[in-house]
Amino acid sequence: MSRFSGFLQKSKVTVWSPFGRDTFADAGEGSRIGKPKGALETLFRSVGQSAILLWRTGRLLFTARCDPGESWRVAYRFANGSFWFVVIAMAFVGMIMVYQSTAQLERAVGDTTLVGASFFKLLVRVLGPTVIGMLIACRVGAGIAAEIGAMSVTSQLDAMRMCAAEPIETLMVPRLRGGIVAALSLTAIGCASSLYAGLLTGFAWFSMAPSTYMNFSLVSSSDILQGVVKSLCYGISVPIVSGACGLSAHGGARGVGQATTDAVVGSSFVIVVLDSLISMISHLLAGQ
Amino acid sequence: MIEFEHISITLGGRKILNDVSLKIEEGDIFCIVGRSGVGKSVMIKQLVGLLTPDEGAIRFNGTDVLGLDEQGLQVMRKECGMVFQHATLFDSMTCIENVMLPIRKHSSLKLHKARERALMYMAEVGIEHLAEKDPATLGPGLRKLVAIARTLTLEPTAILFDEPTTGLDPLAARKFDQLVTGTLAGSNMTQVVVSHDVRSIFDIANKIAMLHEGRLRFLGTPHELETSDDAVVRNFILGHPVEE
Repeated sequence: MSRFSGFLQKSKVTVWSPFGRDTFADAGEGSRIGKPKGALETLFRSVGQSAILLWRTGRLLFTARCDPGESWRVAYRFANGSFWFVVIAMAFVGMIMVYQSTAQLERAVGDTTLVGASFFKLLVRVLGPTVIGMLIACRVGAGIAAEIGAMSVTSQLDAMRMCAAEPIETLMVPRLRGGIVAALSLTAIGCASSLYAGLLTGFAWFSMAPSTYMNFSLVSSSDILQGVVKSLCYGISVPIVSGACGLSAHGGARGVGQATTDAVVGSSFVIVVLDSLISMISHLLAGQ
Repeated sequence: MIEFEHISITLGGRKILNDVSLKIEEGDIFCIVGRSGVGKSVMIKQLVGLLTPDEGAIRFNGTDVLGLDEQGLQVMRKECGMVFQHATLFDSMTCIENVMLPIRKHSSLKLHKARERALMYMAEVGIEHLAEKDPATLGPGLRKLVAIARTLTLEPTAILFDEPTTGLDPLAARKFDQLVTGTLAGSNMTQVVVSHDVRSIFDIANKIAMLHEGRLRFLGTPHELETSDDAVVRNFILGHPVEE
């Protein structure tokens, strides 16, 4: 969170910020490592910054004058670049979950017939969207923050504004669109990978019949809806939080590095908070 | 006409500019000189709304720049282009895509028309053969020419150059000087050049302002600068350490 401490210093300078001119970003070298005024204020400023960027990007989501092909290229880059990372990571998650739960149930209860069913419910509701969201935060979020941060510290954002290419419209809108498409598609692919890795684990270690494992009886439409909503929210929050970090980066290579770190930490934190919030809201609305 | 009135700005706790006033007439080739860190670049960035002063007023052709919102600034930036110190080309685009960007943003021209127009401006600065090149493969001189072509596409009435000859070899620097005094001056464009390249300044300027310790130290013609009795001015021209 140290990067945000720079925001706390008052300045009349705008490096660039989603808030427009005259905001909290300070061009002074080393301002990043200025004394934070308080963790709470820092947190509020970070949340406020991301919220305003979300508002300004969201407003342009369907009306931006940017190249429509660019959004697809970004979506392809995000999804394709993270494909094997997500598939392999989620396969291991599936293997571990099925192995551990089957071993425990076998020892404690002796009945493992509901391993697949309960794992699918957990996978669709929480595990799939949240773990994949974290993986996207690590890979896509870091990439967004580093790319935009590097543009920020080399005055490319200023040059862009001089070309009448508003950075939010030109950079953030395609990334937000790409982030949503990538999160939804990677969640589906990652869940499938986890599911089949679990199937192989159950079969190889516990001789579990595939027909016993493939039991979707506990998965309801509200579970799927919850998973889709979570995935959608992560697809929005990762580019926004990471973009906000990148857009406010300053101070050379160290600034870009700090922005990248903050993007991963901030995005992961937001994912955990959103996971809890959506789960609670879902519980209140659907009672499950 | 460009007017700076009583401009003061503090950055990172340091007063960079302190009550600076300047007037730049239409068609002038106006050089702002001074040592590194005196606020030359800050001065021109304020003109296009990339920085905002603490105090003072800035007018561009009678318009109060500080009173403009982001949309107003976009319109104003079409009139007043800027070439940055490090060219700031977008590395994910080819040279022609860089040059086409402002055309496509400011007009509804079809792709092939925008491309034709971009090529025309690239030809104007003699780099049409670089159209499909990746900016990362070009040297600083050529990158700067691409950036100039990109700025020219907006057909501005004024153009700001931030240290245009820094990092260029002597031949590329002189080529830039010729561009300023030839092609650009011929179109009666107001040119503001921030520089500490003394040779370039004397070659191109018809008016020079020197900033020193946040204040305007000198304002006059190149001849007046050359014959100035002020020790600070003389030391700057001769490259001697500053002594008050």
